[in-house]
Amino acid sequence: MSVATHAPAGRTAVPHTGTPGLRLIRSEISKIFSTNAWWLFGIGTLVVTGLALWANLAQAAGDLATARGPAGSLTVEGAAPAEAARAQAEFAAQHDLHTQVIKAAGNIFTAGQFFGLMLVLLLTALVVTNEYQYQTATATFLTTPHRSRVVLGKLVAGTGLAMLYFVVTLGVDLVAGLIFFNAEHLSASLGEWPVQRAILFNALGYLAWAVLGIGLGTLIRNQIGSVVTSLVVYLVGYAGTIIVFQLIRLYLIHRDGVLTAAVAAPSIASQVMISPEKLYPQSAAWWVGALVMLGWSILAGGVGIMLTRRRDIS
Amino acid sequence: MSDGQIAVLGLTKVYRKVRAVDDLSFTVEAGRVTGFLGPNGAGKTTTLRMLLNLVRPTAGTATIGGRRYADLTDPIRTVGAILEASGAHRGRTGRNHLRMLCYAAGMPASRADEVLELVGLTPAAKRKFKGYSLGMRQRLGIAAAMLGDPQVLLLDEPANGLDPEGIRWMRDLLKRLADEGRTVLVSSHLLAEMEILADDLVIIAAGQLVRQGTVTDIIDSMGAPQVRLRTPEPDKLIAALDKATVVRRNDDGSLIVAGMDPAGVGDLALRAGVALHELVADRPDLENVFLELTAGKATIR
Repeated sequence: MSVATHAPAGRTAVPHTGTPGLRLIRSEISKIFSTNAWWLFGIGTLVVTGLALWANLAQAAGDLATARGPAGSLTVEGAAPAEAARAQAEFAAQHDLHTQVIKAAGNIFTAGQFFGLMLVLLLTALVVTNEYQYQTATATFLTTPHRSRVVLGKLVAGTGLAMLYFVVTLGVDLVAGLIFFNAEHLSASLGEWPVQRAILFNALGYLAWAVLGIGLGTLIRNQIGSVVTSLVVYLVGYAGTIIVFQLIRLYLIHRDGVLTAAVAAPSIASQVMISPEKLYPQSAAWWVGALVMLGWSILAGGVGIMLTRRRDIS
Repeated sequence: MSDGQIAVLGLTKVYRKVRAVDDLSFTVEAGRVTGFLGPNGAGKTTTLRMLLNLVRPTAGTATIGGRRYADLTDPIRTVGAILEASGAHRGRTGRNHLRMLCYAAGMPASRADEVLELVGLTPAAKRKFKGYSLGMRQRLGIAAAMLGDPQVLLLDEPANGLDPEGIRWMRDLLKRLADEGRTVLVSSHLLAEMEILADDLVIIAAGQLVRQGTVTDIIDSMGAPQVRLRTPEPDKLIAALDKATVVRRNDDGSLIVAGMDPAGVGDLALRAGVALHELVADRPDLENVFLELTAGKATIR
């Protein structure tokens, strides 16, 4: 669509193009793809995925060999009956080929997830902080004085980018996994719900961390500050939260609910959300994790938009 | 109202303890180049940023064509601005920098190439911003400002980093744009350049208005007209002058006669039979006027 505008003498008529709602998204997408970060991070994601695949395939090969081996039975001596029953169930699962194939498929088809999500978080935070780092925020907000629209445009472009990363990673995982299962003469189990669910939740994880990254970037405009915070939230946040909640459980509140509450931290919530099985015995359900992620995303994005609207750009 | 008049009324910005802009009021008319002058830290950039909705005023209003920038339906087709020379991503090409602005403003990507041509950057269109010289960065800034072919132009130190040829190019461009009926507000430290370029001046210091008017009026207001001349018989000429006339001898042998115009001095010399080798109206230059007007107000606040 192109509409010529009426311009006074001496001025050229610059035509209007594009659909109003999509212009900002297109602008943000062009910003992402006109610098190097997206493919540098992409290569990083591929390398990480490759390493994770290598580890996951090796583990799967071992597990499958165990499962195919002589089943026999496990005799537990000198243990409580409950303990013995659990050990026997575990032993049985280890030797059940179907269970092991599904577990292996879930791992292989989501390989590279842990660091992939972290890279998406960093990249989407950069999408925002780059504007301040390189002082393009001025030009951006001159073109679009309604700053919340700019943030929303970044949100759509950022989640789109995260989806691209997800699809490419999934493609690599699928190729490697299919070759692997073919070589093992086993079904890749792509028709099984637990495997499909693992893949779907993986996509959800990419989306959630992209939104969180945009929110974090608007919250902390300083590039180094937001990168460091991202890393802390993601890496230290995971191990740190577990330790903190374990300590609370141990010394302050002696209830299992404390460990369940660890889902409040985004890094735990993310893992809870994307794990097909319970992350740990007291873990909250996957949808609690999803809700917590959504809550953090809305909080970070909302506060970010509010600050962006109020702050002086200088 | 679409005449593109800029109106600043009681504009104030307070940063913690500093009143960067203090109850500032002035207007800028279309069809003229208006120089926006002031010592460092006078509040020029803050004022321009408040006009553009980038900085929130503590009090007062700043409007363009009667509307606040945030209320303009098509901001960059109405107002073009250059605020800093380094406003692009180092790793992005000049052309892509302009294109992303085109997309956001709903302009065809080809518009980026048109403005690159306008500022003479076409050969460097596909070069990354980090490889641009300061002068090229300024040109890219002007290209961005011209994307929407706006009625109003706000330029903060656009001549920074330009070579003499670039400065002349900029001067011709801004004069032409004003002749086309646009509003051109340009801040600068280059007073000699401003004296040539600007029609009107707004001079501020310490966040407050010091003087507004045409360049001629402001300069004339700061000193009576005087005439500089050379003659082989200075004493004979001085004797012929009115006793009340102030005459000063310069070290280079020329004379300064205050309170007379060149015609008056020339006629008088003819009647006295004194030869004149040089006779010029001597106006104080903008630099002297500016320094006098802002004396003592340029302190670091």
